[in-house]
Amino acid sequence: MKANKQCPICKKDIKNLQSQYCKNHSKAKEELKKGYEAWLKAYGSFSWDDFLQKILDLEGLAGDFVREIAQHEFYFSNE
Amino acid sequence: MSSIETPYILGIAEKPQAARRIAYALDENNKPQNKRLKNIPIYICKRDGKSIVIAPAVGHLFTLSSIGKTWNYPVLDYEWVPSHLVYKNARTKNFIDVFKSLAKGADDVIIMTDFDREGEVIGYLILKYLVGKNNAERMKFSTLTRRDIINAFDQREKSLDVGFLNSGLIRHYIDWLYGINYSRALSLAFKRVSGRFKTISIGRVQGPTLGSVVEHENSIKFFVPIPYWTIKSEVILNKENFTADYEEAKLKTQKEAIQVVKDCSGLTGKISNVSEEPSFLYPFPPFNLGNLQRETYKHFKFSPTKTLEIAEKLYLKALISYPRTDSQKLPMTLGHKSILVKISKQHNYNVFANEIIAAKKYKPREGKQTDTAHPAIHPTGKELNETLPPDEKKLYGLIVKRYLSLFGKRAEFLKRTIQILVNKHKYEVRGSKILDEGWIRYYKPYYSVSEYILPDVEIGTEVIFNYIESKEHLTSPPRRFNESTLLQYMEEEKIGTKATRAGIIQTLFDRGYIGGKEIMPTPLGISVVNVLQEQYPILVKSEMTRNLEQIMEDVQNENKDIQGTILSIKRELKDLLELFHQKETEIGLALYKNLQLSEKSDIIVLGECQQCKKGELRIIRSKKTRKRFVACSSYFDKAIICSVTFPVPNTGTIKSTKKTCIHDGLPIIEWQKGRRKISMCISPDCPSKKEREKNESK
Repeated sequence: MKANKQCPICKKDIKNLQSQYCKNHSKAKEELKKGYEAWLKAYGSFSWDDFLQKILDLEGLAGDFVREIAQHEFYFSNE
Repeated sequence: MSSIETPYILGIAEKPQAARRIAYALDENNKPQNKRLKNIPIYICKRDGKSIVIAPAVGHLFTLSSIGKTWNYPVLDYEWVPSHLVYKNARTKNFIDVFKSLAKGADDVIIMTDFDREGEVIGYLILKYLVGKNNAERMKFSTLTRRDIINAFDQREKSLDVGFLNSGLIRHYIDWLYGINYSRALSLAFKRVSGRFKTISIGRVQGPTLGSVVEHENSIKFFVPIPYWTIKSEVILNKENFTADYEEAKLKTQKEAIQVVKDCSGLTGKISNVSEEPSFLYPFPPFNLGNLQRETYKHFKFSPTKTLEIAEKLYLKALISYPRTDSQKLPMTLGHKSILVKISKQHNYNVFANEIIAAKKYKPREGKQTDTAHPAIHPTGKELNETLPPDEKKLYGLIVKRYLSLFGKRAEFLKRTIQILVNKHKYEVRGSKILDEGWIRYYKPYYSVSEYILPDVEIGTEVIFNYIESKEHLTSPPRRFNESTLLQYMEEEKIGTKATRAGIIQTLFDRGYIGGKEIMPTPLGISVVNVLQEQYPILVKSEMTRNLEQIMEDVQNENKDIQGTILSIKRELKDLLELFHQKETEIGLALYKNLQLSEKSDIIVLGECQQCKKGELRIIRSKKTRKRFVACSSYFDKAIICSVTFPVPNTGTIKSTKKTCIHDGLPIIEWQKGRRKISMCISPDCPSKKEREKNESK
């Protein structure tokens, strides 16, 4: 039996096979991208990596799903 | 029973304390005869040459139960049965026996239960199943004062309130049908996949409430903070320092903020305008139950359930009116002058009550919301014959103060704004002077205002800035619900009713779906909602329950017939359950996987094992006994086999604090159950535990 594709962050099954993450972490990535656009506008220039680091530092403000995806993107993503 | 002279009128009261008050009010000599049958107090009073025997219930004496014993679904046939036959802890049997016995000597019956849906249903079921009648006379009252009870007796209705009765009955049927069927369906779906039984309960109102808590939590989990800037500045006006606000409260970019500071730094400003305008604040509306529950949470941190419990005690002591009301209306027929005169005799409130009486202004301010059965919550003015327990005293004081405030004058203020111009940028210094505190004096300390007086200045005067600087901020995630804000949310979303909302929140706590003072869904709550949202969203969305509320309201207003309505609801439910049945395996599997993940996330590592120094201490749950305990991970390491264990509470949630105990160096855990939260050492013999137990017993 073929194993289901799992989210690398929470190990939940990924229903949408086109997606890299589960539903929650896919949505969190979308929110993270939208947030980055806002940060870019606010500061004029801001690198993606600096943004991810900032988000990781903001425990209690940035949501858990967002921080989890930020951490994964920061350490493991090749984008 | 032979000692009671027959025939008599049988009065059915909702609770023993209410029966006593009604009996004392109705008896012509204020001395009803008090007897005990099967240890239940009953009262015999004389009025208009008739003998009235008043016996109490203790809330509902009957409950719905399925016809047939199979544990399956759909279950669409039910019957009313005595509560003690279903719930082992229900102490209702003696009450039932007393009513059965008293029914024999009664030639007439008066229903004296609280005038609302539940009161109507309680009275009707006793009437139908214990007295053998279908209708009776009905007393309707909003307070348990002598005046109101005698009025209610003299003007009693010839029959029960059909609207309330049908609406109450249909509410019971619908809640029972939805609760039992979906709880069974979920539990069976889980069992079918996992092979083990686990009660997974959900109800018509609990589902959407839990769904809202999870959705709210998700909005926090998906939150990305966004930067923004504000301009802070301080100016000197007549040798005093004042904070000045920049014309734009928030700036979206760093560039703009830097530019404003650059444009204004080192420059003096000029007063370009001074404006003054009066402003008024009117008293807050009278309390309905929701308003009262929110206000007590704000000032005393009482949960909504606790507020209702205390308010009911005050009602039964005839100190306040019936608390289960939506109304913000206080009609003049309540006799406000008489209530105020009585309140003026209570030393805590005499000054303000006398002030109102002297002003002869007896028309209170009212709010918009109405309730057909009862007015807004108000004090009766009844003398306080006893010292109230602290919580009752607090609540009573709040209700009296709110009531007095309704007769007060509006509060008046003078608002002054000084506008300062610096290099095309506008700043404002805002102040406020109290001209008349009005009603606020009566409602203190539950509301207060402070002044911020600005000096007299002239247009054109130069102004020196002590500083102008920009400050960076980040937007904050939404705040978690507390019991008060969740209750407000339910009201706004029309989930549940005034009488049931607090209980629904309590049930979600009791079932382990939510926890904490800042309410968070538990892993179990999240799992159930996640599965239902994907597979069967109707149960966690508020549309279904809102539609059902409308149907019940139509039945109450006699726009819909109860039998036809219940039949169509049963048909609809049957179809929905058929749909559930088709998806049972999928739902069961999703529940199983989600619960497994949430149970896995339950494995909590507390730190290094002090005994073997190799393994780590973890909280685990025995598969056999389902009991929870702390054990060393080296237990399974054949070279070590460290068998150290510590007991931990079996229920509630446990978190690691990453701290160690000062007494024995063992990990400290945070245990939470419902609203109770305790940090404790894992060792049962730790001296800190004995200290805490000693403190708690004090």
